[in-house]
Amino acid sequence: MKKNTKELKALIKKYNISVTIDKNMPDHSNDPFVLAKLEKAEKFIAEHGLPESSNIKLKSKKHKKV
Amino acid sequence: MILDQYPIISDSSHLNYKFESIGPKGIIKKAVKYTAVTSIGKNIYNLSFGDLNKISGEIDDTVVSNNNDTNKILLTVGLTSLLFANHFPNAEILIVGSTISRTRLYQMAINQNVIEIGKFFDLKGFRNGNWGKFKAGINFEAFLVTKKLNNL
Repeated sequence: MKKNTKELKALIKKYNISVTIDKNMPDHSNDPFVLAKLEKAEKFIAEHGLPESSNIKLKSKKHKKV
Repeated sequence: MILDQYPIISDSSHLNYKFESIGPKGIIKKAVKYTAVTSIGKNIYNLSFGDLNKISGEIDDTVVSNNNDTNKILLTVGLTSLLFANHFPNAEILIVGSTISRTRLYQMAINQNVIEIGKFFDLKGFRNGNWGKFKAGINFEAFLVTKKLNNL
């Protein structure tokens, strides 16, 4: 974990990724588009599952791993 | 190395990112949102990307802005995934386009950054009812970006 985080930080530095923090930035969690995308994602996983290689522990058996 | 990216602004939760596309159509505000799919499981996030509506301030992906900077936009969206993963190291990102053309756009973004993304993440693509390894040049219906275990 530490190695990965360190390497990611190095990559961010290497690529000079410019990022600033805006503490007043609106949260888009309740935007209709975001909610629709979330619903679509839930349906997609329920229907098609996740790859066997995924580390996600699914809450329900109906969300199968394939 | 300096990439041709737009400066990114993040909120303190590191789930919301925004940047400005600059081109012939003027300045267009873009947003990338990572949403936890808590009903499914822990650490799985869905990616949403679109323009910020000038009136409502909400993310809207129905607009086709044609600001002649697609590659720069896609690279910037891809870079937000590195920033996100830096703060959520156990997260996996599900990407399902709202339309076929949007899914294609996401695929272009992954193709464009596949070498660097591949160093840290396993890329899976969903096609014809099956998940498989991501391959450039094949059209997928969805993508799952999973951090490589050997980097843990």
